[in-house]
Amino acid sequence: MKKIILILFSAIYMMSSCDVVSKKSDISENTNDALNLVSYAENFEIYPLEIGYKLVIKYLSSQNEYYLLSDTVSIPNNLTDKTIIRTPVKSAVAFSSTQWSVFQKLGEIDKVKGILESNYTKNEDILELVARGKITDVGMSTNVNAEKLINLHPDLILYTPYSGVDFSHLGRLSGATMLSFPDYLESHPLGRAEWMKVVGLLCGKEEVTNKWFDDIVRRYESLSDKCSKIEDKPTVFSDLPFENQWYVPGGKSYIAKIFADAGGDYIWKDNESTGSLHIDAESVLLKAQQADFWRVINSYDTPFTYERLEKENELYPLFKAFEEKQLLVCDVRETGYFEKSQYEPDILLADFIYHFHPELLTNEWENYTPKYFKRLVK
Amino acid sequence: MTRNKINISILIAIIFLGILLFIINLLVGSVAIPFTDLFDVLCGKKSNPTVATIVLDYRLPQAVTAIYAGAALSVAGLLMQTLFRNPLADPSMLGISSGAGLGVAIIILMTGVLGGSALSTMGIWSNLGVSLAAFAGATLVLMLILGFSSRVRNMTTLIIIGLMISYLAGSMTDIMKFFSMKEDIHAFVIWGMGSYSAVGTSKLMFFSTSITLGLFASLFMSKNLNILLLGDLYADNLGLNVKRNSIFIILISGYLTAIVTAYCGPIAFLGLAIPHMTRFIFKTSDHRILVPTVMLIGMIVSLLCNIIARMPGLEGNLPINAVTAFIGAPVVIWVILRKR
Amino acid sequence: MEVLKVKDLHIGYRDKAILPPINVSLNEGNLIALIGPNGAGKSTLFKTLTAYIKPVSGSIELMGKELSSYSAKEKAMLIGLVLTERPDDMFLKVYDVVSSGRCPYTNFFGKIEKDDENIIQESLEIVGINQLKDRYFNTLSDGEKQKVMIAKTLAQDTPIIFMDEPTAFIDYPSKIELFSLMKMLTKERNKTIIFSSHDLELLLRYTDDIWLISKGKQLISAKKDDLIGNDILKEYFNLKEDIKI
Repeated sequence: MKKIILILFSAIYMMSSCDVVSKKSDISENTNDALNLVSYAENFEIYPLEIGYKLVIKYLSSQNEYYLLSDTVSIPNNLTDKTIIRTPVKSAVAFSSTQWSVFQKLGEIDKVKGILESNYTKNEDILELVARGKITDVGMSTNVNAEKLINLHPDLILYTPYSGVDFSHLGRLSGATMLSFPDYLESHPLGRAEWMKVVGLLCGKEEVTNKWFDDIVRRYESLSDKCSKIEDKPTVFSDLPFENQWYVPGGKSYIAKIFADAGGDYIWKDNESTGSLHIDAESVLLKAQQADFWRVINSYDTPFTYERLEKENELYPLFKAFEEKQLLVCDVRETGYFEKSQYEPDILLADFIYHFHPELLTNEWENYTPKYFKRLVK
Repeated sequence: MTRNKINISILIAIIFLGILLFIINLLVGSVAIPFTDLFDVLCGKKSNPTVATIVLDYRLPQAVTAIYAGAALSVAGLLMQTLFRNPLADPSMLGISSGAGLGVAIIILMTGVLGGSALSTMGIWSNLGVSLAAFAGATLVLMLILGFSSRVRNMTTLIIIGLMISYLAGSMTDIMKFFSMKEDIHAFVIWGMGSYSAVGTSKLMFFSTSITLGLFASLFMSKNLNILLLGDLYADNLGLNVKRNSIFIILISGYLTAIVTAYCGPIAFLGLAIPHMTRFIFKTSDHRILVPTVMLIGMIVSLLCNIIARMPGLEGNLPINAVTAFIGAPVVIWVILRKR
Repeated sequence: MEVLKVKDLHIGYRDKAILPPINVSLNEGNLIALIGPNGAGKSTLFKTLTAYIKPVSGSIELMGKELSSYSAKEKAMLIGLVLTERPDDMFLKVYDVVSSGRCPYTNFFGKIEKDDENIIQESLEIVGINQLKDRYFNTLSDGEKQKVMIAKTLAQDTPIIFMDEPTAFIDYPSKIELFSLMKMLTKERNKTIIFSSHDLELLLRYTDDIWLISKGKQLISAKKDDLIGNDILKEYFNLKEDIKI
């Protein structure tokens, strides 16, 4: 209701002024929670303004505000000292694959001029753009090549914030607006997926991403509803050790939530962490030895086999899931897991339901074949 | 007397080399900048704003940082080697770098664990926070070493104590890393690789002034350092207050190391290798010559390392620490072998 | 003139005296040898008399004034020191070592003035090592190194010089050369030299007075002639055999 009044008021105002486009008067802001267009993500908020959007990005205790205005409107007087992002964005550098993958999905990848760590992606379209020089690789997140970045003249740099790492000099040097993108902090799968809305706004295609997201929510919730009544939950654990160190997802993490929503019993579900846990091999054995399923991500170029894994670590055969060949493996190279799966939580969920409770995949999920996590047969 | 003439010619050659390396530093990088464009930028002529930004706001502060850091670490190494009369002494050996590392680990990892007050949310304070923590860690170890040095007369014992403090700080850092989230180790990894680009134009003034102070102080120590070469008893007999002098030397050396480590990360081997290189080039032990020439050679090698780290062929910049170790370690081995 | 006067001096470390009280005095131009077995306290006595360590009790008067009342710089102008330990640095030149003797006289940066230069040159010549001055110290023989250290002490221009076993580690001709140098310095340059040595035969030939020191015993100052032809040495050091001098 308030919104309608505002629009009416501004319409009257516009009629009374001679030049609509050069309207310079103040606009009112309303950041009432009820107006927030974000429903699952906890680290950003979107508020509609008369002539654009206000985007609030939260990272731990800090909060940054951005005013997203179409490049056809002039900046209102009361926003001149704020951070303005003109939409649609013409050139951006995206530090994370979870950022550029949305540009790609929206058909706006030509707006992305630079990315980091292109050698880690298996996305052939991106690799080709890098090879053709349409996209420049500007280094690693631990070692950004400032010169290449300055040389790209981006309007916007989408970066992943880390504690203690200051990227602000890159914005100062290149003249670009720095947009923090802490999507990895979201612990709800739908919250992570919702970050597509930020890129949608930047591309001026918010209707598209809103529609996508609403569909994802609908599918995800109908699936998780079905699983919520399940009594008999298979136990599951996750990840291989890296250099003999076991890092496993915390009990309140995004992965743990998907396990739970898929009717699985994650063995570290009681843990309170939303990040990753460092656990010694003995404790892993103790808790996970009898688990029914083992979720594993394969970032290598060659496919896993039980034989190969056994050679790698002689502890593996001690696990029941290994002996009974219940490894659920995601081949990163084949699936584009790191850039894409975040925006398909419904598919991820369906993947695990397929393995945990195949009988629940009915109606639109009939004859579903897993996309990311497939059972390793041999 | 001929030696003096040789040294003067070497000095002139080295100064020219330094100027050349400084220009190459401005010229070389991931983005190719033609010499004519560089010339235009340096002469203040109207030029491509991107070129101007890269040269003046990125490469120039980095080259200046390299110069100051190189001079500071090398002089710190020289002071330690003379004080301990040990060719392998350098500030990192006394645990000062490890102390700085521990400080950084504490502030990065603890703020991460405590959440709420993560460093990167503090904007300009975040880098300053890391620097302050490194400085605090280095100073703490320095104070410990000073405390021990007033009890322990034997310099070798002091070096062993320093090494042990170094291991202690290192292991505490590892323990903290163990209990941290993967994501929080990020900043520590970045800091640990060492970089001359972190100082930047905004902090360059403070960085260079603090280092200049330390370098000046070290110039005033030349006479005392010369006397120390004779041994503690002779030095005492010649009227030198050996204990007070040792404290001054450790303070200056630790101060210089702490500042560089705070801003650029732990940069290895410059402090160890440069004094040896300088002694071999100028064939002297006279600190009135050594202190300024070590600064000069330190600047030059540091500039050279920075060029290698940013070679256009190498996609992305190499961590400066890898380059300094690559150049420094063989020099140290060569020196030790030649000494026999 | 009385250069050194020691009264009721207890030497030792950390308030623990290792010898009975010492009472000796010295006039200028004397060459004094300190003899005694290793571990008797020769080093401690030297370190105390050169003010490197504090006496447990008693007084040391130097040129008529209490030793502890001199500033570090004043002491450096009064007492010279030659030790058995040698500087060990690859590029340290003979000239650098000798010129460091001017340290108490030079300015903050150790600038060598014309006067300093003259004294350095004179010291090199007295000791006879002028031709070595551009050599690296490390490349010298033990005897040459010893001479360089003596030249350094001469450049320091002090009335009193302490030498800790200056004749150790050098060959016989060098020893003789060194003793005659010490003798010449005391007689012609009016220096007072106190040195420790085990070369009994030679030192009896060159010195004026001899100080005897032994574990737990009173320090005795004896004239050389008093020692020759009697059993003082034998008795003092508890020797079984006679010493033929």
